[in-house]
Amino acid sequence: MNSSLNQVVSLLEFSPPPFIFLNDPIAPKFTLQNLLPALKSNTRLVHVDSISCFGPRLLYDTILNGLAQHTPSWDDGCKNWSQDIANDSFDSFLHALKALHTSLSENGSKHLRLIVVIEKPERLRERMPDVIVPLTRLAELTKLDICVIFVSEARWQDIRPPLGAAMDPYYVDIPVPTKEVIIQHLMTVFASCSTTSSDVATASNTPHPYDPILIQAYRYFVQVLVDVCFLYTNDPHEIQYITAARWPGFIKPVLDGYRMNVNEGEEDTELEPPATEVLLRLTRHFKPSLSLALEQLYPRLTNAVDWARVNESTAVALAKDGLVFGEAEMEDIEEEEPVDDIFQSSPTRPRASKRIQDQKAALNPPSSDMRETLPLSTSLPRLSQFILIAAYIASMNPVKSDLRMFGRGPDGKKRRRRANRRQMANAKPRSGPAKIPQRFLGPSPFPLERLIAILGALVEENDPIAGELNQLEDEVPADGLDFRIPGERTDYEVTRVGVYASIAQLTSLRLLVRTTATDKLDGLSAMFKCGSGAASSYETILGLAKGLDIQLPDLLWDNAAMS
Amino acid sequence: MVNLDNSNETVFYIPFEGSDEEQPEIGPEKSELDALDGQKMRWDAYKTSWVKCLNRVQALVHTLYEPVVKEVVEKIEIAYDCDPEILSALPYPELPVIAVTNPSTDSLFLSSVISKLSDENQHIVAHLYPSDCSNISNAMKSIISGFTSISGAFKGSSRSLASYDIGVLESWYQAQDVPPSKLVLLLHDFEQFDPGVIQDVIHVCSLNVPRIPLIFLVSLSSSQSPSSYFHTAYPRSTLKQLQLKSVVVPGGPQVFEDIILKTFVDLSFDPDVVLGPATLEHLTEYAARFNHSVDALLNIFQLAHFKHFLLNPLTALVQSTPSAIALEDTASSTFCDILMTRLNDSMELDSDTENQNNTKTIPVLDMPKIIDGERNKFRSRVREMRLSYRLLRLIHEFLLARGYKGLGPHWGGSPSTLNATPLPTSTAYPRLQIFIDLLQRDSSENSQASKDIRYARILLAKLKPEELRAFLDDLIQYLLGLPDEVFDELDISDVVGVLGKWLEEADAAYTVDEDESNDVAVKKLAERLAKWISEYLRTLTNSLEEASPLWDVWYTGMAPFPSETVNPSVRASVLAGLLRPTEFTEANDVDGTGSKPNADEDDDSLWRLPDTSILFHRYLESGKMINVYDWFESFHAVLGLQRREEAKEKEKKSSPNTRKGRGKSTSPKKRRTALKSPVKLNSKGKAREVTQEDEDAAEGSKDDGFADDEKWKLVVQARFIRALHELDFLGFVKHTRRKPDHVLRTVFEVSE
Repeated sequence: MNSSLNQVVSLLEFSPPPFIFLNDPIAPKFTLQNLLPALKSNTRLVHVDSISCFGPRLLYDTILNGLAQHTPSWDDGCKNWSQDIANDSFDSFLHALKALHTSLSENGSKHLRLIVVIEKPERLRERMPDVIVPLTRLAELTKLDICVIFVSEARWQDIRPPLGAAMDPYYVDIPVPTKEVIIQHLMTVFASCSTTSSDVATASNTPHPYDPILIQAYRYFVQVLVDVCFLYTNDPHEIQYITAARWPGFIKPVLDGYRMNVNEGEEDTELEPPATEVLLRLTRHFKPSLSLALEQLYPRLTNAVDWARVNESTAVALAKDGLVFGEAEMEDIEEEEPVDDIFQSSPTRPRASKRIQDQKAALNPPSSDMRETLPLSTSLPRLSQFILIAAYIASMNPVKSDLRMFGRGPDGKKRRRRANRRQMANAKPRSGPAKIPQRFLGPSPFPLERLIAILGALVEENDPIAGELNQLEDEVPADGLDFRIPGERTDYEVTRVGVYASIAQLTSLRLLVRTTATDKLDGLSAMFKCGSGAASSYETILGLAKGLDIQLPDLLWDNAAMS
Repeated sequence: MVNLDNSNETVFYIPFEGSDEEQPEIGPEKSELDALDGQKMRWDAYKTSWVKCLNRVQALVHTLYEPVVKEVVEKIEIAYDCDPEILSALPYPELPVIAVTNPSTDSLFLSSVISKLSDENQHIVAHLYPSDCSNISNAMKSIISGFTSISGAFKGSSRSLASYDIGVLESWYQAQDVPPSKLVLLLHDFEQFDPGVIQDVIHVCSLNVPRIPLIFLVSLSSSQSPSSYFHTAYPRSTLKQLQLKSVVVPGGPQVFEDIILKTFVDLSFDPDVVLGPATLEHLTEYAARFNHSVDALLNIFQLAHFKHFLLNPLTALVQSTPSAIALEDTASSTFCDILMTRLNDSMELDSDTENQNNTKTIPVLDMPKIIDGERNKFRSRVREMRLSYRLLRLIHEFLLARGYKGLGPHWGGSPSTLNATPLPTSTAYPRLQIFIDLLQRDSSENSQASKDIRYARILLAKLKPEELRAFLDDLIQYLLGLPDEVFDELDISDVVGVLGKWLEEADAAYTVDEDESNDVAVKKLAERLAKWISEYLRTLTNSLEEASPLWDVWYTGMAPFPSETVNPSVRASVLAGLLRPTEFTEANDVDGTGSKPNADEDDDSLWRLPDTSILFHRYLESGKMINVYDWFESFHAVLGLQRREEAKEKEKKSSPNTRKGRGKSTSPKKRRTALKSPVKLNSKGKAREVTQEDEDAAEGSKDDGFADDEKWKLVVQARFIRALHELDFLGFVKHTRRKPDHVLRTVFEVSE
């Protein structure tokens, strides 16, 4: 616990200001985890999460029940602590708060201090802006010994209601966690884990990764890990997450070696702290996987359990680094070793290349779903792919460019007169604000008709199936449809029910986003835009276009900016 | 009684009071050609054969899903229990989320997961739909009531927790005598949820795990990897709270094709109705272009079945034959006649020269037997067709396995290369296309199937001795492994006998020391085998349409699939409806004789059309913007004409000597010219026309008097407004704020 938190705790114990604002831009959750247990001793404390309490009623109920330490039970209909109605307005809440204080004082404790900790108060500003001002003045309004603490990533200036109605808080800024703080935190995690898991482990008499005897090894491991990760994140929880995923795998060779020794009949052997030399070897073996863990776990490309399973070291790889500590199976593994040499083909290739391989593996995350899912180009029907490309073009190109891009002269030839970019670049720079390229602005909405029109142009140019149909139909109009005007067939094809159904389907997949209300028939037609993420990324659409033989770069107005 | 004249009311509700008509009868229309009870028989036959097909498809899908269902259930089982070493050291508990990607969007998969969860594992499953989640309190309310509703509804009062408070769920969970081990929340159509709301829901729920053992089961339908959707739609702060695992349900074109092949090209399953190449081709095209979900597949199958039974009265014979007595009944005489002609025709062909007098008499009593015979004959022909496909595939795979090219790129490469680089085939469903080719093989030798068979012959003749032996062995093994009924019916034992002899020869030639004479013998053997295979395949793939005189009972052949009904072009249909409304209304008369007596006179003159069509024709003649008043006036003119013409026709009926109306000469002439280049009606010309037509109108209604005229104007106005609104509703008209008396055209350059 750092000095600022200590200061808060002692303040709260002696004479607290009525309103404290803790600003922790890095890890407010971590700060709370430290603060709350320190305060439990002689105060009544309630911790409120502003996302869970998304309405005033929930906020009042949670605060009152929490202060009264009352748990609603299902059998009596989830009754609140207060007998009176306490949750319909702030007024009744204040009354209930006073009543609560009186009843608590009657029950013995002479001087009772109430503390309300509110996490993420910035969300209160969105949902119930009226509540913030009275909450900051709670002590004043109730005339009780009550302290309100806001813990937020944001600063008070950004949350503060206008007009200065709210009381100015006692500001506390939590410093950025240092390496020492993080390591200390991780050591406490180890301590708590060794107490909880020892209950399970003693029964089976097998060592577990959080055995107290391993604490020195753990400290060493944590130091290495923090060194690797600290550059990228200093949120203790994030580092704890990565530690949790890696530590059991890291220490497993040691535990396995011990287990093997026990199995061989050496019952008396005690688990010994691994020697420094062993630790060094372990570190050398696992160090590449630490940065890998950071790359995959920090953005949560996979979760800790799955990551640990995938990245468990094989016996062969361990044996290579001399990390198999049981003598018995050593020989078997030695035999297997040459198999692994195939992968590491030449002796001239040092270990660094292995690290590069590992990092390559990190770029293609091994999570199972990546391999199993089909790319859009095979999983979407043909017309849906056309629709997506048309939507991308409609989203990215300005409306005025459509005629130039897709227009045809009366002779059926495309007349595409593109402005010569080079000349434009040489022209004198125009004054006024610089135009931001569309790809930075994101997709812009377009009406359904424009989508259908662009789709028609794409299908006409690039869909061989439609072409085949055309030829067939020339001979025998089987369905009684006769198209003489060029493009009429395509026009017929792209206004089929199936096309509209596909658009609706893509909308439900969020590959297209409908920007107008669905229940409105009047007025302008439905507007769409490309969905966020994959559907609007240039690479995805380019992949689709390649599969369909569409020259996408030629069809984009601002294609110079794309590459 | 509703008083429609009450001007204070803006809306009237006219309740529906029962139907005057009878419920439409279910089943095909009665046809004169039907046998006694033929209608019902056809309906029953349809139901039986469709249900058979449906069950087959569903069983296939079910087997496909089963391992994945198991995987999902297993993941739910271990959600909170796996790897305690890691979980206990996490900074905070994570909410397990199992994301299921199910591209085929059918409910079968989820329902089997749910039934498995709630029946076998005693978990409680609650559902959450996107419509429940307009905001966080509604979402929480639905989640909580979804779980707690099994122990009665929660009646919150103002002194208890709010019904959207997660505390309710917690206290409910703790009050259970036997707490369910997991609470599974199934989020349907996850892409449609508002991420803003779900983000908060996830936060609230994750604060309460594992006290409440919640598990989110998320159903995604987009085919991207599930975690990638999460990563694009949700911020890291939300992802941090999840333990995301993903499962992918098989789907997509490959599975789609598998299901079709296993339904129609599998020797262990005999569908009652065999779909012809036309339907199958439509199916492949529709699937490749629009939709390849199992639901779409079933829809097309069902429609094909339905159409088959709807149009052909003979389809009553698909499964069973009516008794001879029923056939003798006078009601089925026409039916019998058709049958008779069909059967006779074929017999004449068979025994042309023998005795021409005898052929006309097939006793009715023999009829059922003959029909039964035909049915069996056809079924064995269909089996032969499927066998031919399997044999060709066997040859192809054998060749591939030996490192040859196989029968060509359209047969697909070897499994290893297939996944890496999909071959550039013209169709998305190559395997199915081959079967379609086989069905279409004709004697012209130019069809793809004939080429394939020829090619197979060439390749087989070149086999090396050792390969020849292996091939014969494979072939015999395959044939022996066929289902018994197929084996018996197609006389496979004879085939196996022949092949076995050859195998012995090949063995003998192979084991005896290498000798040039042996080589020659083997070569000859290979040639014999190749010749025989090609002959055999040719007989197997004889056209199904020649299999039986009654082939169209069991086979849809080249009959086109009614694709325009399933997937019409909306705009074209609407325009056609407005331009030529009579073609739609008289569609039923086309095959009958009841054409209108005066239809040939001047059917396309504008005044005969309904109001909306008249207005639409005028619309097409205008410029980009339409002055509504001008539009009304032109409409008025046509209605005036219509009124006079109708009066005249009435007159003509009463006194047939009256000469033809002069109004005809004023019928719109501009239309023809306006077609190619819509001319904007300039106000001057328009005004002139209007005055002229006004005069016409006034002239025509001179006799009716002034009061009548006023009333007529009101009628015209009402009809105009209604027609205008219809066009507006159809989207032909766009309003502008700038010029309230003008509307914008939205449709241009319509060819009639």
